[in-house]
Amino acid sequence: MQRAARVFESVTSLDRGESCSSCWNWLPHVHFPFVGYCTLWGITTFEDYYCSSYKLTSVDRERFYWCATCKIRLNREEAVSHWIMKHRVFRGAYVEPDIREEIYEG
Amino acid sequence: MTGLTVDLNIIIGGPQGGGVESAGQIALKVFTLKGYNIIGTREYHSNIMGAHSYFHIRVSDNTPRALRLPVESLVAVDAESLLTHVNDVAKGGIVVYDVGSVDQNALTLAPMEHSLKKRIEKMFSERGARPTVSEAIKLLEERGVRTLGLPLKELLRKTSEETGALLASIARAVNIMGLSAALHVLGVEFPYIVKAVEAQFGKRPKILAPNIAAARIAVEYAREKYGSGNTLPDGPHKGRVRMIATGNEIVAMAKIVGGLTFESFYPITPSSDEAHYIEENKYLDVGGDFKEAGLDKLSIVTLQTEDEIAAIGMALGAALAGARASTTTSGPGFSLMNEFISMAVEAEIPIVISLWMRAGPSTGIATRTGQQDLLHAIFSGHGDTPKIVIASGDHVEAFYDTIKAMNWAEKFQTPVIHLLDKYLASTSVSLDEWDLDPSLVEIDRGKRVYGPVKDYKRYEITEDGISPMAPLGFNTMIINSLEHDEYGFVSEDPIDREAMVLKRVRKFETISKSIPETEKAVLHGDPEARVTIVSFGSTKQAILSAVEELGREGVKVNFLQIRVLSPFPKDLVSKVLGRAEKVVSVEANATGQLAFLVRAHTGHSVNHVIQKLNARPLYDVDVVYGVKRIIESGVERVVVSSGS
Ligand SMILES: [Zn+2]
Ligand SMILES: [Zn+2]
Repeated sequence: MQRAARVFESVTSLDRGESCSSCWNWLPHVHFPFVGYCTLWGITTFEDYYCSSYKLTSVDRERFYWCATCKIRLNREEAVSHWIMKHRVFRGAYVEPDIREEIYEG
Repeated sequence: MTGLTVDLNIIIGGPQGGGVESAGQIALKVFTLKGYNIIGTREYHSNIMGAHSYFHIRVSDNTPRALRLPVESLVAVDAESLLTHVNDVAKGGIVVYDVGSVDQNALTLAPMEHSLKKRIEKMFSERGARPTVSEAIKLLEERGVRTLGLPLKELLRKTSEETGALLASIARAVNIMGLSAALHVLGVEFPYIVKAVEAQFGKRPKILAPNIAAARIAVEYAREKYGSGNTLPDGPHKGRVRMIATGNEIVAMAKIVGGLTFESFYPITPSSDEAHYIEENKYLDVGGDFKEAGLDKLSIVTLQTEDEIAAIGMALGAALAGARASTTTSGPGFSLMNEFISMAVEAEIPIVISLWMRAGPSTGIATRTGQQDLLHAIFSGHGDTPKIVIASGDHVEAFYDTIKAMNWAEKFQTPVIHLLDKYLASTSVSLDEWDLDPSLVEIDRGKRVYGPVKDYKRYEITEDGISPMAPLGFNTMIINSLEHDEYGFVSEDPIDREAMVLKRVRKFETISKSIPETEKAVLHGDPEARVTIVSFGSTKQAILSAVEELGREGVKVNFLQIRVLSPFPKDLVSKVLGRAEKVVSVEANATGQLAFLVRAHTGHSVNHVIQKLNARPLYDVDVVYGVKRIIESGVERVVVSSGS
């Protein structure tokens, strides 16, 4: 938590595009993609946060991806096509550990 | 709200798994703490996490019979919730929405079902508008609905900054924010929200603090932007300790206090929560003889088996060993149990099967309600298998029916199928302790013999068809699903066979005579009414509410509720239907299963049916609409379609 305060700041005032929302390290929340989980620092951030370890996300490294626009899992070929359509494609989605208590059996 | 009476309906919507459940539970607690009666149900998608789900709550200073549409308040934390329920809000109502969602368009909402997108698109295009949240807000305002936009993302950021919490689950607090803002506008004081949030998250302080902060920040925003209205007066039950329980929980409670000692099950919606509740609460403090024997606690065996065949098989085994046994399931699982139901009839083994109906056939819509398993229950098993089939109309009935079912199973050594459904399963109600009084139904285990008996005949031919039942272990005895003689020895002798078939027939006649007709069916309302509604199961409260409403409009209708479907109360039903000019059956199945049974048993044709087929709960407006259509046009079948 301490580290979070040091390394992250809101970029809304800095007007920089390099925020968590396009960062390779960041997984958007499965339901509310304006928050997400930074796999690098191990904390939750808002989409417009920013840190010096920012790395632009891409769709050519992993076998599976998550489209936050369509809310579905994609394989690499699908990820490319969603990316071209300017969908918000990420390495994965963040599912909170206690989500189980909100989900019922089908 | 009209006059001094409080009657509020609220829908809280959001993505499944996104916190709607917690918010719904908090809302139930808030209004129960305020002293009101509540009823609340959850609707959710069976297999898509993130698909739209919602909690519908009714709050009243009277006892709310059923949920009502349209609602006075809609809390929509996402675009899908707002667009899905845009037609469910009453004039003068309040809608809380996320200002961050205003540009969203129904057509691009990921989890929204295609058909709904098309319907919404059509509705808005008829107004010359695009199907967006901002257009929905415009439409609502035109209809006289107050709209309250919350910048959820910014409020969440504020919460996070104030509490120093970048919590994993903080995003879900948007539901609490939306709800809290709505509660503020409805006049609920903030301390009640705090108490309810504490009751919900009490055991997890790390989640508690940010959720309370989220609620406060949302209320402050709403107060600043929209002011404060009148405080909602306290309800009639203020200050009393009361309980909130679902139908699943109430049936489980009844099994526990009704002496159940064994329940096996295979998990299936909407039955599993019943078994889980027993599992969680199965240790019972005991006194007296048990204490002297060195025992402090007794327990119920709850066992998750590998499938439903094993579930009923093990319960039958437990019953033979002397346990009071049951299993719980829904339609697909019940299909698998069929063979063992025949065995229970032939070998005369007591067993209660709680059958929580859901929308079929097959996997159908697993998480939605229906009444399609009536005939399946009646005709389950093969080879002449009469059995008891009962249906509960509401939560309180479900409690007493569960204890009765266990009594009847043991008294008559027969399967008892207890019809319940998804609506009862996942609907919560507020109750007082005395509403569920186990002392009103004595535990009756029937003709039981303990200890060795000379010349014990398990299948002794008796006048009432019931033989003395000894648990395994005391006597040399044979339990047989093959045809047998009085001792249980296999016998294909024609005289033995005929005698055993007739014994089982006599037993069913005994059952029929032993259960009074007035317990099998209940006529609600004016016996002289021209129109009689006949129905079974969880439609009861919506029908009663509709009968009252129709009465206020000068339409005299009564309601014959059939509580025991087998053995069927033919005399009482014949008498009541003989007096009616119009008979209307109300059921949530397409084949008119109750109408079929009525005709088969009484010869009375049921000429009109109101059917609910969309797998959503029956609302009183459905029944009012259906009855009026039938009276006005004489139409045979009215399909009623409310619900989102
Ligand atoms: Zn970063
Ligand atoms: Zn996409």
